[in-house]
Amino acid sequence: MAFSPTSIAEAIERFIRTEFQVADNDPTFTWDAHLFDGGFVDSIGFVQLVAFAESTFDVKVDEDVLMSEDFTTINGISKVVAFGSAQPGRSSMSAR
Amino acid sequence: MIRGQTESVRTLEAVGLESSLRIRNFYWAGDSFRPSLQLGPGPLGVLPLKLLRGQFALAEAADTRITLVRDPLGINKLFFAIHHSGRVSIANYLIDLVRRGVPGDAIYSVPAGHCVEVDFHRRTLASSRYFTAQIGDTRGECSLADEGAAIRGHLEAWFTRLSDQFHSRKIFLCLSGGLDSGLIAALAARYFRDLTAYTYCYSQNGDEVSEDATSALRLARALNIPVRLVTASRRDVLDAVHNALVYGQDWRDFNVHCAIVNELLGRAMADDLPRAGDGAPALVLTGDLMNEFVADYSPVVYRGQEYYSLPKVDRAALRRALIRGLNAGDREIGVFGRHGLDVIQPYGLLADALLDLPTRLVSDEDSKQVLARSIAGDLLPDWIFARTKVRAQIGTSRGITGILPVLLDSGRDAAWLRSTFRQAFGIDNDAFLSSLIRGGVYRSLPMFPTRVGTDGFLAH
Repeated sequence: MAFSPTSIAEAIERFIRTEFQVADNDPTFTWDAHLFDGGFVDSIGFVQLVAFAESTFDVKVDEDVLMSEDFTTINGISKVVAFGSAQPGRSSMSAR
Repeated sequence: MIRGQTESVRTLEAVGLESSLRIRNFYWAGDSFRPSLQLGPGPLGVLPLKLLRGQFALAEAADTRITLVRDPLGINKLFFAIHHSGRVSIANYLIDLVRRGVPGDAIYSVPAGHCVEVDFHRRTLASSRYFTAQIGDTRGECSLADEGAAIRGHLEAWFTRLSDQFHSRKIFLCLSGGLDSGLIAALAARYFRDLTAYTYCYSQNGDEVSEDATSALRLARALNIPVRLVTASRRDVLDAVHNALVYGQDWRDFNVHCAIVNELLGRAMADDLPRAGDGAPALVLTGDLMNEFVADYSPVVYRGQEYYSLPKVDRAALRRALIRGLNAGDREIGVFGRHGLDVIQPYGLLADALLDLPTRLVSDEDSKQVLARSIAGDLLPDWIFARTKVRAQIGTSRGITGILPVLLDSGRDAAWLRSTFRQAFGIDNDAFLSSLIRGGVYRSLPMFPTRVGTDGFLAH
């Protein structure tokens, strides 16, 4: 099943807010906010986030993708995951 | 064949590759192999990538193209930087590129199990995965006893090969007193003659022997292996921090603290080598990697604060994360390598078999003991299977001693390690560290970089 970027972004936002205690009224937490530079997700949290994305959207994230600029914002992650979830086999996603 | 480093550098520079590789490669492809430890770029053109296994960082230059390949698990590190002139600098150690004048933001890593091809003529960079770590969770009926027997077979086969290949070397064995290194010790004792076990022990007064070290000494006696107790004081531990950071290539406490143990052991081994007198090179064998393959880690609480935290994910995801995490940090190969010591991690040699263990078989509290007994019940004394697991950097199950409290109580906490790492590598921007290692992976380069720095190195 393919997922839309918006539905993925909403799910990821919910996950981050719940798991990493981001306040509902934090104006800096947007879908374009840098999750790591902004301090929303740390290195352990990142592993949880990847595991969440892989299990929820049935994709496997390649190391290249983990380190890409895309994988630093909710919008970017959603775009990458939506692309991966639409691929037959969904073995792994490349950054290119 | 073992090539000299100087020769490799001179040959490669003519075709645009500037090599600072100094960790030997150990690789094979398929079943017809006779792996040896080699320094140098490796015969990439004749190797079938999909079959390639081992611990290696390989590089090749041909015409206008540079090809870089890193081992499946990321055991050996492979950093690179692209100069606008067409020169690609490569190194196992980040610090070697920094010392060559490469700025941090121009340094990238080849991801584990990947091949990176840089084409200067076309100005393209292609990164392709040739290995995917497949955990055997879709396998049908199987038992720990059967899996243990199969793993034992793999280990015996590997020790036969290792003893054929390295029978003339001194074998230095890292013996923690736990199951993983104990099993390697038991096999090494059967296959090697010139074998010495090294055991780390924190002792402020020089006269206490930790629970872990006591177990290691007892096991060494049972296996009839000579053992050298490497006792470290608070001062020794603190003195080892710098090298642990620089050559362990990581600032995260769980890796730095382990790297300190290995730095202390590596120093003792390097000190002992000249005294041995016969000039035979040493080979270090360790019991590392099993903990990653079966996700046998747990956090430690000290003064109400949790350390060595793990991501809250299910065990299968944790196994994948820990295995992926081997990509970054160099607490074994890098730290011993700094002392000129070659390292082989036998559990890594049977990575395919250990990855293939279904997670359900290794999910119980005592799975590790049951698995270890099924692998080596006949090789190890009974008491070792009943021991409570202890982290080497803690040393006892009765409280928190050793490296963790020594560092914390002297103000060397996570923030200090991070800051000191930045200083050691000349990194001004703290946020850069968050992009250097993310999710257990060093930063990689998705496409040919176009931004030219003032020093001529290209960045993305």
